[in-house]
Amino acid sequence: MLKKLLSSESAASIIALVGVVIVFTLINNRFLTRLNIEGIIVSASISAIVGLGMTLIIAMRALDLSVGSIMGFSAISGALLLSHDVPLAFVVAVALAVGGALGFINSQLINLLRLPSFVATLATLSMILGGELLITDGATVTIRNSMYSKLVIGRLFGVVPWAAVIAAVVFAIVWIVFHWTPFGRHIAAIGGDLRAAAGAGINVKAVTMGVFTLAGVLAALAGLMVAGMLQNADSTVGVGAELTAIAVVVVGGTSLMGGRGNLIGTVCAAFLLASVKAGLNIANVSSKYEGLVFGGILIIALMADGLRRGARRKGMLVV
Amino acid sequence: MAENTLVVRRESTGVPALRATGMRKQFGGIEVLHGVDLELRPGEVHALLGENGAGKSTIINMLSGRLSPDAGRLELNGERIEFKNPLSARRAGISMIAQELEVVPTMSIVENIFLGAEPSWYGLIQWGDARRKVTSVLKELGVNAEPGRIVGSMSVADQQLVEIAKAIVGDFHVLIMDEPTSALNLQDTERLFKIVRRLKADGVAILYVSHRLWEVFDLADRVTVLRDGNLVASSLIAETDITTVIRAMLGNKSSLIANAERPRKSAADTKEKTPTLSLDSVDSGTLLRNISLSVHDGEIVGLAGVLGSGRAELCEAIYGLRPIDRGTLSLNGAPTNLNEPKASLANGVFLLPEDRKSEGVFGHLDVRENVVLGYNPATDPAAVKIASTTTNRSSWRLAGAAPIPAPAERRAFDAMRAALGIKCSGPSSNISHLSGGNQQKALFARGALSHPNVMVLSEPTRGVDIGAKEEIYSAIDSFAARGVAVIVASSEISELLRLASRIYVLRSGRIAAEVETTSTTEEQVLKLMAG
Amino acid sequence: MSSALDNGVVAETLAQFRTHIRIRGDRTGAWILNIIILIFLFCWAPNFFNAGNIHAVLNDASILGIGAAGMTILIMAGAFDLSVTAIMGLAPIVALLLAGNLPGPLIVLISIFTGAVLGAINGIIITRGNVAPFVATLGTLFAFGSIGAVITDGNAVYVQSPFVLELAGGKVWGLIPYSFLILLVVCAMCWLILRRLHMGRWIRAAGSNIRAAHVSGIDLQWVYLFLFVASGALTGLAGIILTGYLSSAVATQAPNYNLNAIAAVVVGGTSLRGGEGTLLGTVLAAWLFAMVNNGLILVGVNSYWQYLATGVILVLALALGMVSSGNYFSTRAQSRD
Repeated sequence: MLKKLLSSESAASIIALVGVVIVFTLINNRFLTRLNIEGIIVSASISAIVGLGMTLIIAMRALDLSVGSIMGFSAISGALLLSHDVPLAFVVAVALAVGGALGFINSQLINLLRLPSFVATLATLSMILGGELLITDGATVTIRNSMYSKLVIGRLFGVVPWAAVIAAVVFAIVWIVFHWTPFGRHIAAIGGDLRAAAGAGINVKAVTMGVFTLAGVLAALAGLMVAGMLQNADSTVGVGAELTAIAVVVVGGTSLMGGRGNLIGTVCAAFLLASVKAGLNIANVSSKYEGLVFGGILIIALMADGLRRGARRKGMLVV
Repeated sequence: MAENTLVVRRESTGVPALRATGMRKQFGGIEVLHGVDLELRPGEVHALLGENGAGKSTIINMLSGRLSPDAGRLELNGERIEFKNPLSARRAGISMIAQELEVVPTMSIVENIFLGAEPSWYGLIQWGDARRKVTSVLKELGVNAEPGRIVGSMSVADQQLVEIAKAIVGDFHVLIMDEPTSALNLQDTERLFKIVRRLKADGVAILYVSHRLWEVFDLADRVTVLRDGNLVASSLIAETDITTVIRAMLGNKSSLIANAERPRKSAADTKEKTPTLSLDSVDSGTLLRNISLSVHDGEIVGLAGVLGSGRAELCEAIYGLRPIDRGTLSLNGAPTNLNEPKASLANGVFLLPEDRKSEGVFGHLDVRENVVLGYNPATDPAAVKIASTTTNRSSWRLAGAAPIPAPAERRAFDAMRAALGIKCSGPSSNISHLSGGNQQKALFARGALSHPNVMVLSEPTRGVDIGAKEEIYSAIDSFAARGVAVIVASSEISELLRLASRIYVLRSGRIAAEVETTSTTEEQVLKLMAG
Repeated sequence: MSSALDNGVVAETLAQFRTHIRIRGDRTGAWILNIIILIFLFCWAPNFFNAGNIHAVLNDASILGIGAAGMTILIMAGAFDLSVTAIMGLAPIVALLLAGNLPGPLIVLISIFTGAVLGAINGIIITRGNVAPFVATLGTLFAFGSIGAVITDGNAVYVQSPFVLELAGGKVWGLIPYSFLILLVVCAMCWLILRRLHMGRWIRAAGSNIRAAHVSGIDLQWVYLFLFVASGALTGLAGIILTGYLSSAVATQAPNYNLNAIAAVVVGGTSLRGGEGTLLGTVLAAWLFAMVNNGLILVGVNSYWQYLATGVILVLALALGMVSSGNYFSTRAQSRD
C-alpha cells in the first residue's frame, strides 16, 4: 500500500507536504499549534473544493478559467442576501444554483458556439467579474450574521473545523462520481481519447454540460466559504483563484493532457499550498515570497514528474 | 442472442440477421459507395474483401452506426432500422471490432471494455460484476493481465485483444470484425478463430474483413468482393478460389499477379563490401533485442513483421527517434551515434515515417513548404547558385536567421514535383488537399532533397492508391539505382517481394529470419512473421 | 433518406471539438466588430475622434499589442506564456533600479534585456526541464511576480528620464504616439521572421505538428528558447512604455496582461491550436479592445462595464469568425485518407 502510494502520481505532492511541514516546524515550532493548523485546514479546504472541480475539468482535457470569478460572484451574492436577512439555507441554495447556472453557461458557449474551453471561460471570467463590480459598485459587503461564519470557521464537536467537514463531504461525492458513475468515467474517457469516447457512444456535449455545471457549483461553494471566513465579500474574492487552482491540480499529479484525475493529489497539493503560506507567515517571512516559493514548487514538482515518467531525453514537450 | 457462456442454437429461419440494400455514400461531393448490397446470415461467417479505398470501411461504418448512408436501407431481422449513433447499433445487437484501436490508453481494461455500457445499479457502476465478466473473456482470448491494468501500458497485440474483448462481451447477434488480426501472432489468431467458430455455432452472424486471404479461406463461409465502391463478386467460399477472388479485387490493375510473375531481384554479391548501414546486436527499449542487419549501396532490403513486432520501432531506432541501449550502429563501417533526427539527417540517413498524418505532414503549410523543409541549396550539388539569395554562413542557417532562398527552393520543388509526379494545383496549395498518394510523394521529395545515403521507408504506400503506388515503387528503384541504400518496412509482403532483394522478418522484437526474395513465397514469409 | 441524420456522430463530435485546419488566421470577427463600434462611436461619442483621445487609445492598443505580438508567434508555435503579466512589472522595475539615472534609451534597452533574460528562464525550464509551457509559465508567473513584490516592497519606482516619458506621451503629427510606431516596427520584424526566415517556418511547423517537426529534424529546443526570449523581450519593451505612460513602475502595473494578450491574439483570429496566425489580426484586436474601453468611458458608462464588454467581444468575435469561415455549419471532418 505504501509502495503504491509512493510511486503514484501524487507522490510528489505528498512528499513535498511532509517535507514542508518538517522544515517549517524546525524553523519555528509554533507551526504545529492548533491555531495554525486549523487555519491551514480551513484555507486548504476551500482551495481543495475548487481544485476538485478543476481536476474533473482537466481530466476532460479542458480548462475552466472562470472559477475565480464564480467564487467572487457567489461570495457577493451570498453576502448581499444575508444582509437582507434571507434565511441561511435559502442563501446557500441560491448561491449554489447561481454557480451552477454560470457553469452551465460556460458549457453552452463550448457546445453551441464551438468555442474552445480556454476562450469560453476566459470570456465568462471577464463578464462575471464585470457583473460583480456592477452589483457591489466596488464596495465591500459585510456579513453580520455570526452564525454564518461559525459554519465555516467553527468546529464540529468542538474539534474538527466545519470547513474540513464540508471539504471531506465534497471529496467523497466527487470521488464517487468520478470513479463509480458512468458520468465520471466518461469524463476521463473524453479526456483520454476523444475519438474512442465518441465511438463508444458517449454524449460528449452532455458530459461537458455536467462537468462545467459541477465545477460552477463547487466554485460557488468555495466562494461562500471565503465570505464566511472573511466575514465580508467584494470583487477581489477569487481573483487569480483559477490559476492557483490549476497549479494545485497539476502539482497534485493530474496531467493537463487529460484522461486521468488525481483527486487525492489535488487535496494534498491544496494542503501544501496552505502550509507554505502559513509556514512563511510563522517564520516571519514576508508574504511577498509566497509566489516565489509556490512557483518554485510547481516547477520542481513538474520537472520531477517528467523524470518519473521517463520523459524522452531531448524529445521535449509532448513529442 | 449470444453471451459468453450461453449456447443457443438459432435456427436458420431464412431471414438474414442483417441486410443492407443499395447503400450509397458521398464524401465531399464524391460518391465512394455506389449502391452495395450485403446480407449477413445467422451462424455464417461472411468475408468482405477489397483493396484500400474499395469501400469496405465505409460500409461497415454504416452497418455499425458510425456513419449514416446517403441512400439505401438496413433491415435487422427483417425489420427496417436506422442507426443514429454507434450506441444504438450496439444496443440493437450489432457489435463491431474497429480497425483503428478505439481504446482509451489512460483507462484500465475493464473500464475500456464497458465504456459507454457500464453495468450500473441506481447510478453506481458494478465494478465487481464487470471485473468478473472481463476476467473470463480475457482468459478465453489468452490475455495475461488483470482487469485493472492500464491499457496504455500493454503491447499493441494485447491492446487489440482488449478491443476484441470489448466487442464480444455482452449481448449481440451480429459481429463485425475489421482486420482483427493485424497485430496478432499465430497463437492469438488461433484462439480468436476458436471463439469465432463458437460464436458461429451460437448463431451469430459474422462479417469478417481482412487482407489476409488465407485467413478468409480458412474461416469464412461466404465472400463478397468490393472494388471502387461497387460489389463485383459474391459467392460461397466453397465455390471459388483465391485467384478468382484476387482478380475480382484488382480488376484490370492486377499488379499483385503481375508482381508474382515479375522476376525477383536477386541478392547482390555484397560479401566483400562494407555495408552502408549496419546494426550489430542492437537492443532498444523494451521490445527490440539483438538486432543485426546490414544494407549496402544500391540495395533494397525489406523488413517484415506484424503490427507490434518491432518493425516500426526498429526504423525509429535507426533514425534516432528511439535510443539504442546496447550494440552498435555503423555507417560505412564506422560506429556512429545517431541519437536524434537532426544527427541522422546530418549523417545522410532519412526516415519516411509510418504515419504521415501524425509524424510527417504539416497540415498548415503548403505543399512546397512541406517539401523544401530543411532544404539547403548550399549543399545541393544540383542547385544553381545565385550569390545574392543563398546564404552560406552555416551558423546563421542553424540559428534560423538565414533568409529563405525562395528562388532556389522554387526550383528544387519544381524538379521534385516533376520527378515524382506530385499532383497538386500549385506549389501554394495546402497539403491537406492532396490525396494520400501525393502527400506521400511530397514527403518522399522532402527526403530526396536531403541527399541521403540511407533511406528508411516505413509503410511507404499505406493509404495510397494503386497508380501512385507504382510511381512510388519506381522512385524507390531509381534511388537504389543511384546508389542509395534502402530499407523498406512494410506489412504488405507483396510490396516487399516486389522491391527488396533480401527480407528480414521480425517477430516479437527479434529477427526471426533473413530470406532471399528469389527463393521465398508470400506464404512462407507470413508463416515466419506469425510464428 | 437520412438527411436528418448528420454525417456520422463520431465525425461530428470530432469536428466540434477539434476545429478544422485553418490555413490563415480568421480576422473577420475583428474587422466586423471594429467597423460596428466605429460607426457606433461616430454617432454617439464623436469626441472619440479628437486627436488627444485617439492618441491615448493608440497608446493603449500599442502597449497591449507589442506584448500580444510576441504572444501571437508563441501561440502559432503551440505554446503559451502566462508569465508576461509579471514581466510587464518586473522588467521596467529592474531597468529603473539599475539605470534610473542613465540615458533613456539605455533604460529601455535594459528593460528589454531583462525581459529577454526572464524569457530565457522560461525557455530553459521548458526545454531542459521538460515542463509543458502552460505549467512552466504559470510557475514563473507566481515566481516573477513575487520577485517584483519583494524588490519594490510594494512601492513605486519613479521615472525621471524624459525619453522614457516621451515614448508614450510624445506625439507625432499631434496624433500618433511613438509607442504605435514601435508596434509597427515590432510587427514588421515578426512578419519578416515568420515569412522570410527559416525560423518562421520552423515556428509554423512546430505549431502545426510538433511530432513531425521533431521527426524532420527541426531543433525544437532552439525554436522554443528563441520564442520565449522574444516574448520576454517584447514584454519588457511594452512594460517600459507603460511605465513611461504612468511615469512610475509598480510590480502589478499590468494586471491580467497575460489573459488580455491571449484574448487579443484569439480575437484577432489566430487559432489556439497553432500552425497559423495573423499579426494584423492581433493589432486589430488590440485596437478593438482599447477602443471599446475608451468608448465606454466617453459614452459615460460605468467603467465596470469594460469587463463585460471584453467578454462579449471575445465571444462575438470568435462566433463571427467561425460562421464566416464555414466552420460552424461544417460537419465534414471526415477525411478520405
